[in-house]
Amino acid sequence: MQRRYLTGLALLSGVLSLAWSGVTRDLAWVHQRTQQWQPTARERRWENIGWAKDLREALHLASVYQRPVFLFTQDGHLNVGRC
Amino acid sequence: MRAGSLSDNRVISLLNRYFISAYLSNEDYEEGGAATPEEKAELHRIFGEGYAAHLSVGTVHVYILKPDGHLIDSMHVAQAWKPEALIAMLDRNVQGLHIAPGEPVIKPSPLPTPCPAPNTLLLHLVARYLERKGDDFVLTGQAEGSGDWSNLPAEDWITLSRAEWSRLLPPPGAQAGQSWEIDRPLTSKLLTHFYPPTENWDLTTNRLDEQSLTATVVSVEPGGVRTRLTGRLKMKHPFYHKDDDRYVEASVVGYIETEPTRRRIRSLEMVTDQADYRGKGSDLPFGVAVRSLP
Repeated sequence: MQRRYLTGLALLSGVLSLAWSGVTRDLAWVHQRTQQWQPTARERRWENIGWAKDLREALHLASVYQRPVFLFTQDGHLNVGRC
Repeated sequence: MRAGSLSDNRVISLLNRYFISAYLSNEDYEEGGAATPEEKAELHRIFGEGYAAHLSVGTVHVYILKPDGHLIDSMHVAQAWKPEALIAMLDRNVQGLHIAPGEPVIKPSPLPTPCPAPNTLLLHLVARYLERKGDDFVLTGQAEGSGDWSNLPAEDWITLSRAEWSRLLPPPGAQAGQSWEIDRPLTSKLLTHFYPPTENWDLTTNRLDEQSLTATVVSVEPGGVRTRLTGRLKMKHPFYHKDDDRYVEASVVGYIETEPTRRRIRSLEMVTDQADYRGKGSDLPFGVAVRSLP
């Protein structure tokens, strides 16, 4: 583990670099940003659909409950928005 | 789809009352993908039935299968993302198959949180586009029915081992003002996820040209030590799965609260102070927020 201790100079430069914007990037600011940028209820609305864990489970349940299957195929990862 | 039809309450109600719903990621069904051979065979069968019936077949589609599992209808996502088009498709199949409404067979549930191994630190990351409003940046696409996938946040889970998160801890006996640079492997592991929603999620295509993360002890109290993180990155990130000249440029700021006696991280929060996705003549602001989960 390599650590290079820079003493108070880094702290001072950090304060100066943020001072121009007029808003202090303190813990409260970071926490507020973190909360603001979380997925909203509307963005999570698709989770109100009951999803089978995979295609074969969907086919099995369709047979048992005599319901059709809605299958959505896509590139990427729907659940985390990386698609 | 997720930003369009799958967020429409009428679609959600139809799916829950009449259908068994499933989604899959094509990568899992490619050669070497995570899906089981039986799963791959079922998808191959469905595609084959589609071709035989001259239905629309493709990788980004919705398919309707009868209760016996055979394909009856399909639609490309270019149409299916529109609620009215998908509702018409669902309605005609419900009526054609004489399906009675009922309670959801599968109870809807929120996205599960990964279960971290003991002594690991689980971080949740959200990345999303922003737009300037006055002196601040706000979320894009918050109007009902905006339907644009790029307005959705992207999420990643990052797991740090004890050996990794220990390198974020202040040294024993640290005093306010003491600083150190976080080593490059750990910085890379964190910052490589700092890109906005794109059609490319392959981290191996990211190239960090510039990166830094500095920790500075802000306060030392009997109950804990507060450390401030500041850093920046310049990272190549192609928008698609092919090379282009787009890159991320961002500065970050965050805080770590640690329990000095137990040498553990109580909480970590880090956000972009300024972040832009640049290239092709565009300059798109976005934000990234990382937080630790207990």
